[in-house]
Amino acid sequence: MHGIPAARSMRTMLAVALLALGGCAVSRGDLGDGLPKEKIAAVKEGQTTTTEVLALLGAPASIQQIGDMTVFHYYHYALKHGTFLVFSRINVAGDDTYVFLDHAGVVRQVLAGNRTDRLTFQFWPFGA
Amino acid sequence: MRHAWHLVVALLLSGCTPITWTRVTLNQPLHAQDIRFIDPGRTQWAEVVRRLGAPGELQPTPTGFVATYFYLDTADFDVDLGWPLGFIGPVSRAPHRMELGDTGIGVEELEVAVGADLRVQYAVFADSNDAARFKPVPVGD
Repeated sequence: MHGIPAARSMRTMLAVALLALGGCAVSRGDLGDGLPKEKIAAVKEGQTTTTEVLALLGAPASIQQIGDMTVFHYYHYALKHGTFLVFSRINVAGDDTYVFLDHAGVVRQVLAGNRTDRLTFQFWPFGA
Repeated sequence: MRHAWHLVVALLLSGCTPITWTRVTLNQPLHAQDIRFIDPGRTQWAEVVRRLGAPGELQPTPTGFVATYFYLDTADFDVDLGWPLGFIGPVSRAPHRMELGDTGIGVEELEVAVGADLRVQYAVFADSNDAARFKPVPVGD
């Protein structure tokens, strides 16, 4: 009971499709927009003002008062998911950016996270 | 028999499996050696940021603020012991799901308290990260 070559290649294609589509999955998710690095770099400590920060980075997700400083907080979270057969792994990382402004409305410090740059797709759930 | 084997392989490949291991992690863990450089009362906040990056949260305190670095690790194992009954004619029509599962969630936080002079007052771990491990049965410790 050997199939004709066309039927055999059809079965092979079906098997490959099952392997490619059914047995494994990769997906990606993002919460918030990442701030472009060049825009963060344009915020200069001791020079940039509140108005310029808002023009460059947009409205912050939250504003805090810490001592005599106002802190703008921006964030972006990224998710990478991989599944292969019975194994799944979901890696999530967050980039938090803080802009510290003094009482005169001038930037005193900029903290920018870049954890999402190191985020990888994995499916093996064991180990580190 | 040959068709049954094909079906099992197809189901395994399509993700319809009675057994799953899933791991979810948020950020990367920090270790004691990563904060060994911190000398309370002397280390500058800028040095902490340079070495550890931006924290996940800032909370104001009466004397400054607390920066918190988060790490979360979740290990989930599930097995459906009733899954094979789905292949047995009349039994397959009755409810036959018998699932055992266990989820361990480990949370690690590093808190760095910073004073008004922007020097670190203290840095301490609050962690329960050992909870994130795969366990085959949901009983026992």
